[in-house]
Amino acid sequence: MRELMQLEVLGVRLCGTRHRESSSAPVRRPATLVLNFGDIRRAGPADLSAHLADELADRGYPAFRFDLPGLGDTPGELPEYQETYWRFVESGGQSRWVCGLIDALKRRFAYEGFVVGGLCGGATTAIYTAEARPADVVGIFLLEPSVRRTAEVPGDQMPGQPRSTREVLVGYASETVARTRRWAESRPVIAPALGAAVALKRRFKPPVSGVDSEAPAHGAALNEKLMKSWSAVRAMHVPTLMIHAPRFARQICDAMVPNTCPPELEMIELEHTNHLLTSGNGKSRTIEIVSRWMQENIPLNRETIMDSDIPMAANERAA
Amino acid sequence: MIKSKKTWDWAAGKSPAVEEVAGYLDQDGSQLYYVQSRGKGNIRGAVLLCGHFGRDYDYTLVNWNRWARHLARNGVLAMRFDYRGVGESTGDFRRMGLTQWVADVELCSKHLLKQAPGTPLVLHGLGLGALLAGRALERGVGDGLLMWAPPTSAREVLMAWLRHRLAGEFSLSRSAKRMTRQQCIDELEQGRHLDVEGYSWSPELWRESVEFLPPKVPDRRGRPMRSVEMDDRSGTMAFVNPVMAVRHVPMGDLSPRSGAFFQENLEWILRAMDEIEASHARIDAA
Repeated sequence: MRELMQLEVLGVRLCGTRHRESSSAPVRRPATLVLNFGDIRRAGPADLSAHLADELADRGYPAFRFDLPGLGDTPGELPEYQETYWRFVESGGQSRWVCGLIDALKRRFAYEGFVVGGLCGGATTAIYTAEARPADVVGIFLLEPSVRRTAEVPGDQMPGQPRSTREVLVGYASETVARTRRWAESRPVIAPALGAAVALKRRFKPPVSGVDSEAPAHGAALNEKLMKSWSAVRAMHVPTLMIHAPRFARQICDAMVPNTCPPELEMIELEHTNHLLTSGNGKSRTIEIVSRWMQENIPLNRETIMDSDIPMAANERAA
Repeated sequence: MIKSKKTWDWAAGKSPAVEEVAGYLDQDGSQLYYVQSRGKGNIRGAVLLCGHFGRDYDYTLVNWNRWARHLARNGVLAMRFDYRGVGESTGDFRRMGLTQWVADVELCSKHLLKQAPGTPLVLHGLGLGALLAGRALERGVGDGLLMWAPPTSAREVLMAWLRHRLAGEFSLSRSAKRMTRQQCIDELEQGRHLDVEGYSWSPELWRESVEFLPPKVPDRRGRPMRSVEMDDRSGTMAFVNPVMAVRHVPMGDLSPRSGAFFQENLEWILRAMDEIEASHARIDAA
């Protein structure tokens, strides 16, 4: 059963959905946080997150999905370009919100730890969060983790983030060029000439693409900060599930698991599916694998405990 | 490091002029998710936002929500929702079709009118949502219609996603079992479900789609209607100002500059509401 809720985190009311576990037996159980996949709303592509959370709740694991600021139903400002937001996620920008969410959920409920996971950007944030909160995160699931660093879009920025002097100057220059161009495009005499000039320029210098998805994940394109965080998480032996589609399998394996696979890490390659796991029945296969992994690695503590041992849960019931 | 001159209230992340309420409506045992956006001050009228189909909705949601908040700041009660079987609404997508989703539009319209009784209601649809809103208008729901990027039929939308599926499969490994376009269509026409980018399409959805067309303009009852063509060459249904030239950007805008576009459409909505109220007054006087 789904319930809507809002939690105040760092001064922002995050909109979310709680998936109540099917069993009402008073057992100590961990909760699952399914994170936003990059800039996609909390339901996920083809509602993967929503259905995964439903399945986990049916198997006894309470699950939560919250929209982080600017995404889905939670208000907030976003940069103009996706690439800028992706860089924000790749550098761990979403992690502080997720840590705040964990704190807010701990204040409200009495869960035995949190399993955190998501796809692509959500996987990145899960890694950073696991490193930041070793006492709270008892497992992570990484769907199609990305190890690359997105190219910067000159002149665009995350709202509210301080910039270096160079970034500010480049931003002003880009803004001036963009405004001049918009003015020129609206002029009936200038617009055709401008179009011809742009076509000529593109012939000799193709536009920068935001992500070169075929580039190898090493050197300048590798997310070094994420790799350091990943090493720290591996050193903590956090139970980890990794599911990836075939396309970038080699890059992910080379970067994240160069030697033998440690026992707490389970890696599964899903054939015939895409990055969002929406094709080739990827969605249902992913849900089945994650649910099975949870039951095998994140057991529900079957010890029955008295109500007086769960003061926060009692308050929640009263609320 | 110097601070940028732009000082969005990121940390607060709130738009104090707009209050939002989310909830569920009961529709045949399913939970229909909605979000209402309301500004301070008097309400001029209500607008029901009928979103695009499936994953197209995800790609347009950031700007769609900004649009709802822009309406709310300007005296309009705006409501957006997820169709049954999609997003935050429950229900089995495999059992859904266009008829069910028109019923969702009608239910949300009734709910919205209870929040703003006696005020004009404009149905507003994007993509497939424009056809669903148009069908609801033809059935007597709402006082006006604004359509953004209406397709020529619902079938056109489904065919675009079918092409997406086929293109995606071609980029997978060669050993993948790939269906041809005709095989996909045959599955549906022979009464079987077909998985398309994570959604299981029903044969009913396929069959109905050819009959769902944009409403006739002008409206036979003289209700205000407007259709706006939009450029989706960026591939992500980013909103672009139809008056100005299109900017082609590498991956599509996440949060494009839509201020002028929003304002132009808001002004149309407010004028339409004035017309509707004048028309109601004439009818009452008669």
